[in-house]
This record gives sequence, structure tokens and C-alpha cells, in this order.
Amino acid sequence: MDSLHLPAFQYQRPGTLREALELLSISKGPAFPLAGGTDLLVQLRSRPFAPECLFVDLGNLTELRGVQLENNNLQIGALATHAQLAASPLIQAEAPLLAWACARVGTPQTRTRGTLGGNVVHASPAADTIPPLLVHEAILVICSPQAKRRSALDRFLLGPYRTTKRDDEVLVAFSLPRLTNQPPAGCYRYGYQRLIRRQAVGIARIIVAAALRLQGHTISEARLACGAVTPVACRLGGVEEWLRGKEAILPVFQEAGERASREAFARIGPRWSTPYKQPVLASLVRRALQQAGDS
Amino acid sequence: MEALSIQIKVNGHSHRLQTFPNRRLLDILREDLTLTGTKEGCGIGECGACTVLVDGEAVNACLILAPQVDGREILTIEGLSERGSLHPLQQAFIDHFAFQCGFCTPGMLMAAKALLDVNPSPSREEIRQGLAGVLCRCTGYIQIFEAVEDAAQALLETAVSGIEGTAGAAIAQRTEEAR
Ligand SMILES: Cc1cc2nc3c(=O)[nH]c(=O)nc-3n(C[C@H](O)[C@H](O)[C@H](O)COP(=O)(O)OP(=O)(O)OC[C@H]3O[C@@H](n4cnc5c(N)ncnc54)[C@H](O)[C@@H]3O)c2cc1C
Ligand code: FES
Ligand code: FES
Repeated sequence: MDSLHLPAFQYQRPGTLREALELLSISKGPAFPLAGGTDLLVQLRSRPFAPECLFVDLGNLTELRGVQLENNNLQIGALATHAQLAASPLIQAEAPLLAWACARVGTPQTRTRGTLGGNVVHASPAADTIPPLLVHEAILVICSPQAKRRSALDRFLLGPYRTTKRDDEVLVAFSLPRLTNQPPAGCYRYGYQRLIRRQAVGIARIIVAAALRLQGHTISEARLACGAVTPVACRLGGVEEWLRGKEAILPVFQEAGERASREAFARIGPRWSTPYKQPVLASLVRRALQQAGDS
Repeated sequence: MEALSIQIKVNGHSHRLQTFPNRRLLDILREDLTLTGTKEGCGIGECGACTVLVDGEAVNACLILAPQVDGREILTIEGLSERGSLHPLQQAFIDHFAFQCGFCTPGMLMAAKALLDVNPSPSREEIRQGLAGVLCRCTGYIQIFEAVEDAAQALLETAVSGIEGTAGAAIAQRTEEAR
């Protein structure tokens, strides 16, 4: 076998979720659910996998692909692809930040195959869909052979490429509490900014996702998440608090940008790149808020 | 590792193949079916030289395992021309000198085909986005974009010539205005 080919592994393609969970739990070696494969097949070349590693292909579990609105929750199957979500009128209407992010993941080819579940479980610090999902306070629905558990996304993510998911678990769905646009509480408006060297096939250097709830010109609620700058994407609670009750005007957005940047970099401590990234994050936050305020 | 059997349709022909799960769609196409038009550049999804259509959608054949395409329909560069005459995209690539070494060309053509199938008259920006997953080290891309624009026009004219009278003329005019 030459270097172009993939190493050996075990493979199963179950027809039901129950079977998939069963296979994962009885595997002799490490077991991995396989969704689109756009991360897993790349990893197969860059790190050692023992021949007893088991890939459990979820491709036949079409019930994990749907997107629907249920009791004021947006339910997204873990196997929904980026292309599908970017084009979904429901996602565009209810979670435009997620639709924007999905439309920017990789290339048309990787968006056809890559799934939302795979993006989140892979847990790259630069995963494009994570900041929007944090803004929506997404709940993950995770199944094991014994039980079904629900976890908030911020608790699921432990570190770069590390999550609370166990080997015998499958992420089945995301549940996003609907951000309703009802008076008098005001309407949600959104902004998404991403810094990257090349628009396609790059790794985002900074991602900002913002939602503002506006009553007239007053911000009644702000949600702000950043990705790729911190080891784990996170909400910036301090700035969110500061923004509440402020006017949706440029000087406020400018100051929020500065505050957001200080807050994010305080979490990770100084690095060689901080002097470069700090002003850029401030601008991107300002732009995301402006985009939300103007929309 | 156990061998398994898969059934696929490639360029209109059905095949039943015995294969191992660690073989990729790319390996099956090039080695088992000797369809070597589909190229391997990077093997990790970045260059797009391996782009083929699976059930009409562009994918990287280097990032799909053979068993993942069981039961699916695949179109490769070898299946693009119809009844011995070049596809309008192929003709436009020749007319515009849209390749030099030609290594990216099969992937470019398949990505362009996937784009035009869903968006018959794309803007220049939409073409750039649609082809963003295929790298070309030779041309500088401009000839490629022009070729895709020409092919889109040619395909629309073929479609319109099949529609009678004013309706056809109106569609032709609208697509002209949209460009
Ligand atoms: C060329 C290229 C460009 C890319 N560009 C970007 C980009 O711009 N932005 C970005 O964010 N990502 C990018 N990616 C990464 C990748 O495409 C995404 O992370 C994608 O969403 C992964 O999904 P998948 O279905 O392909 O995952 P897979 O590769 O199938 O799985 C990834 C991991 O998640 C696990 N997993 C998958 N689904 C489940 C599930 N339902 N339950 C439990 N575990 C599961 C797998 O076991 C594996 O560990 C790029 C990849 C490539 C190859
Ligand atoms: S060989 Fe598949 S993308 Fe490069
Ligand atoms: S023609 Fe040589 S890579 Fe495109």
C-alpha cells in the first residue's frame, strides 16, 4: 500500500441509531462515528489509527438530517450538511448567523458533505458554526446505548478538539430556543464577521457573531461570541452586560469593540500575536454590531 | 478489515464491486474502473482536482470512502460529453485556452457543471464562489471564468432554441439583461 492510500480500519454502516450505538459500545478498539468524513478522512492521514479502530458510518440515518421548528425550538439534525443549512429558508429566517457561517465553511465540495454535527464534535477552535450556535445558546442532544442527555454547547466544549462526548455516544440533534421577534421586547438583528487569509479553504483567524435585540434604538439584549481567537469559542458576557440599555449608535459599538477585545484577550493572556489581533478583534466586533444595528 | 460489496452507477453504467472500506471513491474510479480523468492532487480536500458529482452534487472523491457511495450515481469527467460531442463547458475551455498543464481541468469542469446545473446564468462572483474549491496553478483563473460564462450562455441558447416564439425570446432577453 503506497502513501496515497488510507490505512486499514474497521467499518460498519448501520441502518438505525440503536444499531450504531450498539456498534460503538462493543467496539474492541477506539470507535468513531463517521458523518461527512471531511475531518475524519483528513485526520486519517495526519495521525496514527490502529487497524482495530472502528468507523461507524452514520450515512444511512437519514432521520438525523431534518430541520424543523417544534414548540418554539429550532431542531437541527446532527447530519444536516452545511450546504443544506445555508440554503434552508427556515435557517435563513430563524438563525441567519448559522446560515451565513455554513455558507462559508470550506468549499462547495466540502459543504456538500460536511455536517453541522461533525463541525461541532471536531471542536476546532476555528470552527465556523460554533460562534453562531453559542449566540443561539444551542442545546446538544446526545445519545448513548443507555441514555439520552442534553448539554449546553458551552459545557460540551472542553478545549481545542476536546469535548465531553464519549466513544459510545452519538450527537443526534441541536435544539436552538427560538429568538422570537415580538413587541414590546423588540426584534433581534444579526451581524457576522470573519477574518481569513483566503475566503475559501482557509482557517478563520477571527470569527465574531452578534445578535442585538432592539427596542426602537435601545439595545435591550446583546449576545456576542468570538471564535478562533480563544482556545475555545466563547460568549463575551462582560460586553453583553455593558451593552444592555445603551443606544444602538456607532460610538457605543466602537467602545463595545474595545471592551470585547480586552475581555477576550484577558482570558488567554498575552501572546506574541496579541498586539496584532487585539485592534482587529475590536474592529470586527464593531463591524458585527454595526451590521446588526443597521439591518 | 473485511471486503464488502457495493453497487454504483458511474457515467450511466452500473457496477457491482468488491472492495475494502479504506478505499476512497477516488481509488475505485482510477484503479478499479480505470477512469483516470479524475485526478489526485492533495488527497485532503484542498485542491479539488478529484471533484466528481455524486447524485448531481460536487464532492471531493478523495474524502469519500467507497462504501459511502453505495447505491449512488456518479458522474466523472469521462461522462461529461454526450454522444461523442464535447459538452459546451469543454468546448468553451478549449476556445478560451482555459488550461495549460490541464491537471485541474477535470475538477474545474465538474465543479462548473455542478454550478450551472443549479444556477444556469451565474454572475462572475457566483462563478468564483462555485469554483473556489478547485485550485489552478497555471492559468490565473480569468480564462476559466470567461469560459464558464460562455458555456452558460451556450447552454441557455440551446435550451431557449427548444422553446417556441416569444417565450423563448423573452427568456433570452432576460438572461442577457441579468448578465
Ligand atoms: C478543504 C477543507 C476546508 C475546510 N474548511 C472549513 C472551514 O472553513 N470552516 C470550518 O469550520 N471547517 C472547515 N473544514 C472542516 C470540516 O469540513 C468541518 O468541520 C465539517 O463540518 C466536519 O463535518 P463532517 O460531517 O465531515 O465530520 P466527520 O469528518 O465525519 O467527523 C468529524 C468528527 O466528528 C465526529 N462526529 C461526526 N458526526 C458525529 C455525530 N453525529 N455524533 C458524534 N460524533 C460525530 C467524528 O467521529 C469525528 O471525530 C474544512 C475541511 C476541509 C477538508
Ligand atoms: S485530491 Fe481531492 S481535493 Fe485534492
Ligand atoms: S491548468 Fe495547470 S493547474 Fe490549472
